[in-house]
Amino acid sequence: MKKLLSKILLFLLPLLIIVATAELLLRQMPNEYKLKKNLLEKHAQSTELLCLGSSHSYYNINPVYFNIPAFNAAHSSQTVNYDWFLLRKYHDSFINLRYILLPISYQSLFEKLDDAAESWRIKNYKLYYNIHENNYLPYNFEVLSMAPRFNISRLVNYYCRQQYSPGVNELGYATSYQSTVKNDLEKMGREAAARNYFKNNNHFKENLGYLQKIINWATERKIQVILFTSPAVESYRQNRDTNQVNQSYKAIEQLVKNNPLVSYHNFIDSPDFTADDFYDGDHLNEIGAKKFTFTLNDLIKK
Amino acid sequence: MLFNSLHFLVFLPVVFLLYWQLASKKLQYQHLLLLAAGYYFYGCWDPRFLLLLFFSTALDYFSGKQIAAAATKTSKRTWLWISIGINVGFLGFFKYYNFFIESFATLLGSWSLHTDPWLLNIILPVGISFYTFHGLSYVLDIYHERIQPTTNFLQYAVFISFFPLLVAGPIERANHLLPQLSTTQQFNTAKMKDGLRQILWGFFKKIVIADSCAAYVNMAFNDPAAFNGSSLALAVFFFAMQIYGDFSGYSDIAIGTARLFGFDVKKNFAYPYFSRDIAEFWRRWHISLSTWFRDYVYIPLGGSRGSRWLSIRNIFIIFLLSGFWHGANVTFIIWGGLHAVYFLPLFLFNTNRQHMHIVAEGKAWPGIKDAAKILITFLLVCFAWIFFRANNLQVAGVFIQQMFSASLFEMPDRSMLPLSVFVMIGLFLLIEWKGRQHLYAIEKMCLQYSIYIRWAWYYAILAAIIYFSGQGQSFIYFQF
Repeated sequence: MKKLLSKILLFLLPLLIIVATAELLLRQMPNEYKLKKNLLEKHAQSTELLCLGSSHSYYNINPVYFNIPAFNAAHSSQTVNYDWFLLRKYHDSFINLRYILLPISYQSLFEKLDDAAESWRIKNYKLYYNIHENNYLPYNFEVLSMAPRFNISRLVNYYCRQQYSPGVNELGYATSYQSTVKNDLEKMGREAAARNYFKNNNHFKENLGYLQKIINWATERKIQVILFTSPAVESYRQNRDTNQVNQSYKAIEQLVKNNPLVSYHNFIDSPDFTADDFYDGDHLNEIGAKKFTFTLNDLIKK
Repeated sequence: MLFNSLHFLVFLPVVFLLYWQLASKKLQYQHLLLLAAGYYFYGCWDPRFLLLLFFSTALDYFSGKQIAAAATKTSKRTWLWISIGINVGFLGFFKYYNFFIESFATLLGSWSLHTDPWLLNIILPVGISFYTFHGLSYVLDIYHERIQPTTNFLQYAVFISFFPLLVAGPIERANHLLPQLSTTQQFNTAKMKDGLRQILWGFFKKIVIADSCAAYVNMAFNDPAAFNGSSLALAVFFFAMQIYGDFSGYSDIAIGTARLFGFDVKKNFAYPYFSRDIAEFWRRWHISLSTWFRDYVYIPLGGSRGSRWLSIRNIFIIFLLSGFWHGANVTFIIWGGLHAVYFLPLFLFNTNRQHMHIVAEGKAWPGIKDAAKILITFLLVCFAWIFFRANNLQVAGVFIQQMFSASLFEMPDRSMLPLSVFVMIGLFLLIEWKGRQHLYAIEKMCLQYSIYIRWAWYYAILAAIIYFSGQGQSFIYFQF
């Protein structure tokens, strides 16, 4: 038996070496989480307006266009629990914070990153933000969190082809959704609505709890929490489940009623946004993001 | 716990080391360890159903003893029916309750009698169809006096909960596995290596073939109206590869894992897509289930011994039952029915036992006649797979209508032409063809070469598995 085991180990040894090397190399590579963490730490003290949330903040709000110092700390698929974890981690640094912008999208109160399709993103919070809220072992490693072929392609692109674009500007806005790309908005809207539909509301209460934590934290510091729903194309709006939408609106209405420093603004069918402003069914391109940020800026000024 | 999970990657070596280091001396220790491993393995999915597993085990063990001890035929039969009734009752409740209630309500609705069916939110215990069939074969074999009941409850509990076979088979027979459980297993290096090779090949089938095809299959079956005929034809081909890779891959991993613990499990697949007719296909596809139905349903019903009509009835019963076993959906019944229709001409012309040996035995390639037969059989099987995969009859209808339209001769959609998947399927079929005379395709492959070549060959398979892994697909047969 010992002979067989040593043979198996010998067979697996090169593989283990390759895996360990890949892990090291992947961690050395720049990525948007590492970059945004550094930018957040750099700007936290001066920031007066903080954008949290998912891609509906990340791609839709460019803090460059605000009149006050602002930072976009949103990430793709960042759910409300991770908004809270981020805020909690840097709470001492936000000494000048006056506003928190938080998107309430179709899926916001129903989705939890921990069991979402993109749960692999948790490894970024663990490895780069040092936020350890999920105990699933593979999320402590780059190589175990993502499919190997994606990691191989990341390694090849960065180390062999020397291709890397940060995709994030100085204030945390994602710059990759450009107006030069023309997508089938109707189809993508339909697909996004289907993707963001939740059959159950297992996380609804929990998410409201995290939202309340953010609000409580903000209220203690007299910070205003501005909840918003960002613009989306018609096919996205029409294909949403009415029950899911109404449940969200009802809960938000209650939150606004119970918390004087909280307001909610719905831009989902704002006539100011045309097809030229959208990258896909539920995200804006850089033109739309500029327009939307100006809209939010006006709202804050009022 | 899935075979293709990190959890299993840790679980298996731990159980393996404990089994051969601590428990190897005494049979009882081996049993206790395997029982604990089986219950842990099953409990990882939903611990509530461990009670059901234990109850099913105790019921069949006790019934088996009562059947053997019964003085009269009536008493024997009573105990048999108690066991069958409770086992099938559980299976029926968990798997078919909602289906029957809904169907009944629809039937009443068609007579303008509208009802509000009392549907339950039932979770199907994983593997219930498999371990129920394990237990049923045990009591049926005792009833027919093919085996003696075991007097060792622990041994019987291990037979039912043996983790490699627990959730998706192969469905083992008591007369094959129980005798192996009555002797202390000895470590055998050759057997271990063989088991590891079979596990490796199982993972290749599952991860490289089945999981890679899954995305294209899902795309087409979720919205068949959005694709042209040729793309849908490709999707059916991908599904044929997916379901074979998935289930035979699972079986290979299960059989290989059982070998790591010293046990020989009967094969479940024997290169079914190289079959020359449907009868041969069914001798090669999900062998443990088809032989189970043959031995415990078809033959007791009279098999082919009675009149022609009786035999035809039995054929339809067996195929429809086989379809229904897969799930409470009309699509599965149609799938079974289609196979019965395919099989019928072979039976009527008495050619169903024409191809008993592997195709082109001892030759490199098949002749034109055999190749044509293989192709026709494969196409028939593929057509039936549409019903098996479609979520409902409506989807199947749209799929078939769209597939057999003029667009069947157009170029397939670009999204349905993944080059790497085609290359892998091509290599896979080639390897399967080359190794078709063995238990699993790579059983003897490269064994004649030096260790460097052999290891390079295993590394190539492993590299493909690693490259294609991470697509996170569960095993299809878990839902059955």
